[in-house]
Amino acid sequence: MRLNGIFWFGFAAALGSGYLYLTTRVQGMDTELARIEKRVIAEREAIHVLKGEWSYLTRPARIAKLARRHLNLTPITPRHIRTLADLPPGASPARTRIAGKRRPRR
Amino acid sequence: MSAPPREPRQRAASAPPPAIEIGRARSMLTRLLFGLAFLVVALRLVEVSLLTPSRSPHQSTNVERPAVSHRADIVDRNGIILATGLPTHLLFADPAIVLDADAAALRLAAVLPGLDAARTAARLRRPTRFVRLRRHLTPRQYYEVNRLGLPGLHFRPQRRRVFPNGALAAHVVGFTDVDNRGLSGIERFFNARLGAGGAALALSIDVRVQHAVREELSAALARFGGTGAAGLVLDVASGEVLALVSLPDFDPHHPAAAPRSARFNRATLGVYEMGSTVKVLTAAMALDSGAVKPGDRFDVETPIRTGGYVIGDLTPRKGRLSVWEIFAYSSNLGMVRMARAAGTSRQRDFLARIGMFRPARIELPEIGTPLVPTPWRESNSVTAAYGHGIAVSPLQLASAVAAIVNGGVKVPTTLLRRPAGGRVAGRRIIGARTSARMQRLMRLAVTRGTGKRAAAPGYLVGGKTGTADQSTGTGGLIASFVAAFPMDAPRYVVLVMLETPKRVGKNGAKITGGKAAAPVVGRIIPRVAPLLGVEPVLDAPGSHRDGGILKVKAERRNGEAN
Repeated sequence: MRLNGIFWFGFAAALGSGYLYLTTRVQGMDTELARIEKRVIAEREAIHVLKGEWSYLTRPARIAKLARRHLNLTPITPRHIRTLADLPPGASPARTRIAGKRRPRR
Repeated sequence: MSAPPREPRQRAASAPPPAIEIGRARSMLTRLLFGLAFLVVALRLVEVSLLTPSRSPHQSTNVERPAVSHRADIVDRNGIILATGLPTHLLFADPAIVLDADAAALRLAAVLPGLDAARTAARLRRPTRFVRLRRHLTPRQYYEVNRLGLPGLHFRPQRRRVFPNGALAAHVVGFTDVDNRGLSGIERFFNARLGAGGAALALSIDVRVQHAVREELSAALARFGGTGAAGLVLDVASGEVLALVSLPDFDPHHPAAAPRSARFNRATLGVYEMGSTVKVLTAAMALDSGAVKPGDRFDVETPIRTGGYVIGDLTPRKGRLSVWEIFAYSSNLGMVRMARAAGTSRQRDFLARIGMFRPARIELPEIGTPLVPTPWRESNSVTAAYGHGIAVSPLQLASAVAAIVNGGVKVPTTLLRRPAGGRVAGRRIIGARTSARMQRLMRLAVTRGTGKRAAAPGYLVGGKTGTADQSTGTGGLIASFVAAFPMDAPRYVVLVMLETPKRVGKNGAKITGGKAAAPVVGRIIPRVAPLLGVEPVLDAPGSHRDGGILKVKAERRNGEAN
């Protein structure tokens, strides 16, 4: 009888402590989740602000000014635009393959 | 001695006192019940922790989410941000807690530019519990003020509407008030949709095209003087507006600082007698009606008298001119006679169908109502043939010209980006053959006529000049040019209008649409064509672009680079 009582008492104690352990674990996870969600919101906001800053930094007037100062480019004219069909007759990507039997004609 | 001791024990065993037995039974039952209860708890624990399938991520109840959704962004067709909200802070003070008002005011003034220390100190001594010190602190200012560590200062998060591209699309995007409500432009037209938050609103505007138009327009305005200007680029197939510029414009962050004239949208709200650019419509109407054939010739020498005044041409000519010459050389007399051949009522109906009598359709609150004479008399028909006597907005005209050159279908204009490749429903205005004829006429007006300065090599520009003295308002001059390119298969319409440019040029010649507006178009098109994916025609004869126009030009050419 005493053993029986001890067993049941032990069982109840084990159950109780197991339950306590679970609840503290869950609470800890909940706090962690709240912390992470707060960070996600903050990061999203930071991304939003950066997007706005990007649009400001890449506005056409600024890009044009920087290009004039740092790049040696001229406006594109129709002379600069060509198509594949404008390549000299006889020249084609297939013919200019280096590897293999075909060699570029000189 | 054995029997008698046994008897009492046995007697005790065979008839036990009921109390103990009952007690034991109860105790057993209780133990059983408790054991059962704990078993249930144990089983439930197992079930909850191990057996329940994972549901959607459980959201924590501890985090405060923003109660209101933020105002949606406005972006251009490529995702560039035109309007967005940035987090700021409102700084306010509780004078009851502020220790030293003067010192606090001085330290605040050191960090916040423009803060009047004396006035602030006085306000910090007021008997209230709330004194608003400054709205919309930037993050840096927020950090600095916080660092001061002054007691009695508090912050409240705010959202400030910011326009990263500044004045570039000011008339399109508009601006908001301090409570982030739209007051003009898209901000106002779509105020509800933007206020509800969510995905960004994508406009049809392309900031790169917008920038090119604005820059060239500004240069022309500076060069020719004038009170204002307007520029438009439309996609003829979809009706999308790629650029809408009105000058002067304003900084949407400080709209009140700009004069009234700067906030007036000359492209959509202003109505003007557009002058000879309307001849595109007259010619299209006359040809489509069948009353005028491409080979017909009309008298351009005899002046026309109507309604008490005399109509003549800017450059008087003799005899009879063909239809293309009348168009290319912009003869009023020829045009009037062409319109008369078609008839007054047909012309009126045509103008109505192509949208000249109703306000333009676009997603802006600032839309001007055209001035149209009612009832429509023959004299109105005469003047309307060369663009006088009715006042329309540049957007109406550009949209009508787009309908003429795109094969003959009027497509509603829009400032919202349309999904690529979608077919847009429109109204047929003229036949496809008339549209092709008008393409050739407009091309000739640039290669041989008054629009020579709009010729951008390689892009097959076609168009029509307009020089109109306004009979209403202050009577200024409107110099304009409406173009479409590439003319063998038009994709875009470009319209430039200069308001009251100087009347006279360097050598005393009168400023015309051909001199002031056409060159602007001639500079805009080469800048935007590569952005819009329009391939230039190569100079070498025998190139691939077909369409009659190029073939004819190749035959006539002898060393010209066009």
